[in-house]
Amino acid sequence: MYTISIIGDIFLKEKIKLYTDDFNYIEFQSFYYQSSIISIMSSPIYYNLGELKKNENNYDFIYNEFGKPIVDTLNQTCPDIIVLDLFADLFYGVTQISNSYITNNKNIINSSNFIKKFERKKDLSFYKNKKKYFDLWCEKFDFFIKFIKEKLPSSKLIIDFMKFNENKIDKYKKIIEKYIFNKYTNDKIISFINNKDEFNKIIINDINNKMENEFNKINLVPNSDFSYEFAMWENFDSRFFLKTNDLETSLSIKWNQEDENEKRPQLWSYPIEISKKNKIYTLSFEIYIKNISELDSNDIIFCIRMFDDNINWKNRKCIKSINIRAKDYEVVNDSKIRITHTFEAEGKYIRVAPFIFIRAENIEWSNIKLEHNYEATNYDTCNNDKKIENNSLYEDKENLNKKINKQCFVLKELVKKSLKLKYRNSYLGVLWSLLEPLLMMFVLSFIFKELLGRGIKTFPVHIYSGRLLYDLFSKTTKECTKSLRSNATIMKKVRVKKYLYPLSSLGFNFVVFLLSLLMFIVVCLVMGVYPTKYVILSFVPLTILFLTSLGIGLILSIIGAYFKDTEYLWNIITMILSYMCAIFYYPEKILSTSKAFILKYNPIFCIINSFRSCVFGEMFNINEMIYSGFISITVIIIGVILFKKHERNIIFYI
Amino acid sequence: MRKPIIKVDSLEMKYKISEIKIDNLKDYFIKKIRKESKYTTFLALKNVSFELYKGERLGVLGINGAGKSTLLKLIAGVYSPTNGYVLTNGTIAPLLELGAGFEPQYTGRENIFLYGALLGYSKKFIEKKYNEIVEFSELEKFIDVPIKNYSTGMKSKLGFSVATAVNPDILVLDEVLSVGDSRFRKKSKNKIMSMMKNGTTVIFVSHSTSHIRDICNRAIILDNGEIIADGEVNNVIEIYNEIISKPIGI
Repeated sequence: MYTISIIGDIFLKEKIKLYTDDFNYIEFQSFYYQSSIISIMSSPIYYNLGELKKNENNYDFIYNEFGKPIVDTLNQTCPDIIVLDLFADLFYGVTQISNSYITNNKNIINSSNFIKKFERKKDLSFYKNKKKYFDLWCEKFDFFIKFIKEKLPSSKLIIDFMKFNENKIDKYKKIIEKYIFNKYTNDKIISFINNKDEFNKIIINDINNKMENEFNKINLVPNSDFSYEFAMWENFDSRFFLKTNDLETSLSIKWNQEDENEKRPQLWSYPIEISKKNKIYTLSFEIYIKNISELDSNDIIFCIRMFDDNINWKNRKCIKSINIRAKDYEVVNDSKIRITHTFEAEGKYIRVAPFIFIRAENIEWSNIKLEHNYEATNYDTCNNDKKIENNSLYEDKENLNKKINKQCFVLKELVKKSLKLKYRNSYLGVLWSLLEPLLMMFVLSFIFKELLGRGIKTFPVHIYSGRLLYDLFSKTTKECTKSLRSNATIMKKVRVKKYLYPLSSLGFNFVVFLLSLLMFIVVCLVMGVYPTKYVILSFVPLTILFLTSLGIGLILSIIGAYFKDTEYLWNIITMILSYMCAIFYYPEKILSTSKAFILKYNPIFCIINSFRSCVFGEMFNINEMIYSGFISITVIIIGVILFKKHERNIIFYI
Repeated sequence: MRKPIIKVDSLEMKYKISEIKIDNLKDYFIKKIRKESKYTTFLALKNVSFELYKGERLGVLGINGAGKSTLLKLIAGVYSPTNGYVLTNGTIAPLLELGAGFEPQYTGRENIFLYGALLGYSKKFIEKKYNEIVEFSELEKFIDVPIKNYSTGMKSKLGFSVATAVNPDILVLDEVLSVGDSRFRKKSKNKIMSMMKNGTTVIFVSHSTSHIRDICNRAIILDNGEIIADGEVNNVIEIYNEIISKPIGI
């Protein structure tokens, strides 16, 4: 990790924002307490921590100003960079408590009961006693530098000289600046920054030097994809403009023929410090040239220059210059190619220039990468992209939950709609659902009792159970057949998940089923059929029934969307099926004849039969369950595949 | 980085038109056996590509059958293209055929919830916005009356109010500015305008060039499923006026 410690105002972090997200390995450690350097370097003040915790709002401030933890923390973390602004030194000054100092943040000190208990000896600041305060400040600041040099030899100190918004402290700032500048200008550990770019340059060069072993493949060109526009690039011209694609930003050139007499624009990267150990670098970039005939084969399409210092670069006193010309590479007309070039560096700094002296219009550069060693790695693998990917993954997960919730809500509304519309304006309402199968049972058992019921007392339970399960199946499938067609208008307007409609048919019939089930339990008890332990097993045939209904429902919803008459055809089929399910007769007689296959291979009969076994206190037939389970899974798979395949097309048929 | 909010790339939409419409199994099998099932294909859109950025307001012009509505339905996600793709980045509020798609047996109140759910709103959101929706639709008196008793104008009002309850990133409008009475028309126009001020991207289909000029800052002309002009709204309208003033036939 590369650690940057920030000591100062909370706005400092905004001011020193890094221009790149590529550096995931940077860690920020922040002390935003507005502490004066005098306070930081003074000795700790003894105080009762328990008492402080009890009754103090300004806990952070006091803990920090009295305990002086910053120095210790720095000592432990050994940050690579310490950034310091001098806001508190200039704006607040200090106040003396016993033989130590704390930052004189008047708002907090005056409002704190805890601090009032301490005797404040003297306030010092630039406004009141300039000379004395300045002497004290210099003493403590030198002490701070000494501390860094001795204890943190690998750290660099960056002092923020950016303008504050307070006019009155600017004149004192100049005094401090002058002092630091005169005394430490040749000290390599201290740098001064006046703007964001300078900060970025220092940090990136430092990272390049320190991290090259650990992060061999980092891109040394900051802001290489121009996602921060032209930050960290120099000497650009209005004739450059940035073109954004979905995944990348590239730099395009529009050359205005009339301006030919003017100085030709160039675009240079900031100076990249050359490592002392490894001088082999590889540059890679993508280039797109729309009309190659405009280009002279001698034209330089990319330029690398090396300098001994980073001040005189504009005077072109370069040590080594590498020009990549169009003729050296097979530049293809109207298509994008990637060029890589490996070179040995000399001097101290490298600058790369994608554009220099070209006359052609419509040239684009993108994905510029400079890295150590001989091989160019893919531009895509840079951390930046990974980060985006990760984000989107995270979002997807979160979104998925949200999406499921939303679909559940829609499903609930659709089921509610069917239920409400079914019972609206009917006098009996929900009661109707309870009465309907009951009446059916009475009628059927009255008619068939002697004929088919063999006088068995529980015959009505037999009829009711068959009816209950068969109704769920037939009603669900019938409604699925119509489901897409009857919701066509809304589907043509709004993007809706179409599977919700068949699913809501099942949901609606399931609710009706539950109501009838309640009635069924009552009927059972009245008829003297009492539950045994096998009742628990009845969920197996029921689950298989739901799956079968949904599977066939999905298939029918698609066929029904294509062909209107599926509905009528399916009505006939279900009617035939109802006779084949042994609803109002006992199946044993048929099972013993040669026509047994009609029942045996009818999955709905198998399910009803197993359910009855459970109700009457027997184990169900395992073979029947395996068979119908297999059928249910098959129809579900066929249904899902069919639905997936056709759901996009059916909108044009309904 | 500036990312497009809608990206339409080489979009193609092909319809199958069978000469005699077959929508029942009996006919289908008879035709299959006789091998008569002929159909022709019709390209409603061919190779349509454009990018729309945040805050752009695109007007789509074109004569009837040029593919405008197909384009809108593709963007709204109702149709899926036969080729190419539409990428959208944000929530879409489709204002197509307002008033259609309500459950006629349901009351206004129930339809708000049902329709809102289908538009992808959450229950909480609808509950929160319910009063606002009813107030905007001016249907307080009739909110517990089944929709089948509503007039077309009332249905459209309700449709507009529900669809615009969100602050969408993308607003898809199909001639909807002619909703209800003149007072409501003004109100709905104001609402759309205020959304646009908040940076909502708009796609607007209309035959009225003056409407397009009012609302849009960019326009395209579709002709036979192809974009024949794309650019600043006034320039495109000029081209469009030239096209429609040409005599038909030659």
